[in-house]
Formats: sequence, C-alpha cells, structure tokens
Amino acid sequence: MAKKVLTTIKLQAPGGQASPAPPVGPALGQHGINIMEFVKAFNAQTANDMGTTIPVEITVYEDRSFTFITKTPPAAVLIRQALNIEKGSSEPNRTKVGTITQAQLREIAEKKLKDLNAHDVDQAAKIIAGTARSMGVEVAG
Amino acid sequence: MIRLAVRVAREHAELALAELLVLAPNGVEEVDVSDDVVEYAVYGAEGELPDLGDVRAAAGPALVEVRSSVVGDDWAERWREFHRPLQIGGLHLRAPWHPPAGGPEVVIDPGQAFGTGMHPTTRLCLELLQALPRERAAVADLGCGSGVLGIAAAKLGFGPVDGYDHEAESVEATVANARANGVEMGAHRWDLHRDPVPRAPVVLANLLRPLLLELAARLDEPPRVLIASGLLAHEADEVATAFAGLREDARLELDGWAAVLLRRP
Repeated sequence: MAKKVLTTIKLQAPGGQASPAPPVGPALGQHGINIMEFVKAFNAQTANDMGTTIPVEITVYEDRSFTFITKTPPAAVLIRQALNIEKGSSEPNRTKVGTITQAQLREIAEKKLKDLNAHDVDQAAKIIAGTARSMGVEVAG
Repeated sequence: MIRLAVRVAREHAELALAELLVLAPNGVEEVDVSDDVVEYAVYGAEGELPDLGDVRAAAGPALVEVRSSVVGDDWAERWREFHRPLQIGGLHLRAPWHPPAGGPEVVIDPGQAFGTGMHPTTRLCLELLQALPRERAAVADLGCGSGVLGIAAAKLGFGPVDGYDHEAESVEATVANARANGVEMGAHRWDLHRDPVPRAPVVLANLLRPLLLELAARLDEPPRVLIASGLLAHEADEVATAFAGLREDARLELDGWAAVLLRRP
C-alpha cells in the first residue's frame, strides 16, 4: 500500500551547501523530519551546482520518511550569476544593471528548458529574455 | 524562533525571490498561498532576521504583505518522536529513549550531528563493517558525525578507533555516544579538505562523492580496507576506481544510495 503523504514542503536552498540552520532546519524539523538526513541527501544530489540556489520539493510521509525532487535554479538567479551582478534594478525601465548576450541567454535557456513551459530552446530563451528585461538587464542582439 | 513570511504576486515572484536571496543566502521556504500569491519565508531569532525595510524593498512592486509567526523551539527535536530502533545484521541500533533489545547494540543520540543509523548510507556501512573479519586493527572514521560507525567498530572488537569531523557538534556527539556505549573512541575536530588524511589500516568514510574523490587524490598510502559511502548509486563506479592501490571487494545498494568495500590486493 502506498504511504500516506503528510505534507509537501518547498525550499530554495544552496546546492551542495544546505545546512541544518534556518530555513532548512525549522522548515523540515517542525514536521518531524530528521534534518541531517535531508541535508546529506540534498547536498549529494546538488553537488554539481555548488552554492547556486536550487528549488526543491519535499514530500513528507506519515512515518516522516521523505522523498524530494530538485528543479533548475530560478532564471533570475542564473542571469545574476552570468552577469556577475548582485541585484536587479529597482527601476528596470530606467536604470539598467547590465547586458546579457544571446549566447548567455541560450545557455540559461538550455539549463532551464525542462522546467519551463517552452517547446524548444528558442522559445525558452525568449522567456529568459523577458525575465532579464524585468530585472533591468538589456538584451543584446 | 520567528518565521518572517513575504507574500508576493506570482507573476513577479521570481524576481522578488532573486532579490530576497541576497538577504537570505541560506535560502527560503516557499509556499503556494493561492493561484496569484507566493510566500517566501525566512527563519531566525529576533535580531537575526533581515531588516524589514530591506525585505520590503527586495520584494519591490510584487509585495502583497509581510507577516510573522512564532515557531516552537523544539523543531530540531521533533524527529525523535518518529525515530524507530533498527536491526542491522547482528547489531541493534537504538536511541537512548528506546528500551534495550537484549543483544549486541549501539545506542546513538545524534544531537545535531548526522548518523542515527536510519540513513541508507549508514546502514550499508554497518553491513559492510560486520562482514569484515574481526581483528584488533585501528580504525579511522572520517566524517564521524554521531560516531555511529566508529562505535559499532569498537563494539565489534576493532581498536583503537578515532573519529574525525569538522563540526564541533559531531565531535561532542561522538564523545558522548562513545561514553554511553562504554567504548573507547577518540574524536577530533578535523578539516578533511586541508588537514592530513588520517591513517589507519581500516578507514570508514561515509562522506559525499566530491570529498571522497578529493581524499582519493590526496591519499599517499592506501589503507588495508576502506568502506566508502555517501554515494548515489550511479557515483559508486567513479569513486571505487579513484582510490589507486585498492580494488573493489563488495558493493551494497539501498534506496538509490551505495557503499563500497575496497581492499588492498
């Protein structure tokens, strides 16, 4: 018989570097999950994205065992990383914080493709370009 | 502990998230409040949370509302209620609050350290450890966490046993658990990335792939026996072949995790 699901928890946590400190500890601990076991599993699965924010969805069962799936990092985080900027613009229409190249857009689009509502990389790149513009990042080309 | 929740309009949520992550580099919890609203939450004691003005500015025009609530301070301990004893081969693993089973046992209170014995990697290491011939050989438990593997080794007759971990909580937990089990086990605060690789004829390394590969590259003389885990099943081949001078003798898998037993030919 399938195990009964107690709840699902979503987190945005640094790949390969999650720790039992907040928010991971309290978010999971209050549901009775053994925090260190999640931390070990999450860090093992996300070691290739060391330090990059990874969305993770954790399914908690009644016996407090759990499974989880990770997704690709948020596009805005990848854009920030690609351009090496700390923040987006608070006035994206007036103040620009950088310029993203078509090659950078495609690279992010390829990474995000499986989590985006897009048929191909070109369409995904257009979605990423929209995110970039709303951060105050100009799109080259 | 306070939970500070920032609710933002879903259509701009990703931008707000990216900005909030600058204030909360350890990450945030995400809750789908409705079709239109997403909540991002950070946790901390009073004085540890980001400034409210900064949070509002980070959320920008997407901000719907900021609300706070108090989380009970027992969040780190609630798992204990659901923790169950476990039989692994000839060893009974239990927490101090479980009744003794009567046979050989390892009693572990992990505190804030890793290693209740429940995790598949710990279970696999304990199975491989019990498959070794019993001998009075020194053991190094790398990344010892709660000390569960080293204590089991000491109970099986290995010795002297020493544990190494970079977390102070792990060293404390190992010392306390060794004492509670009536075994001798040294515990050392150790940075396995930088400090010399501890040497012993038997090495237990329930770590993760990147650190195992790093140790494989730094090891000048391989141990007689190495039990390595913390590996996802698809990583086992790479790690098993990375240790020059050792060959794979056994491999166990459980729930997508693997442990390998490597020996000097």
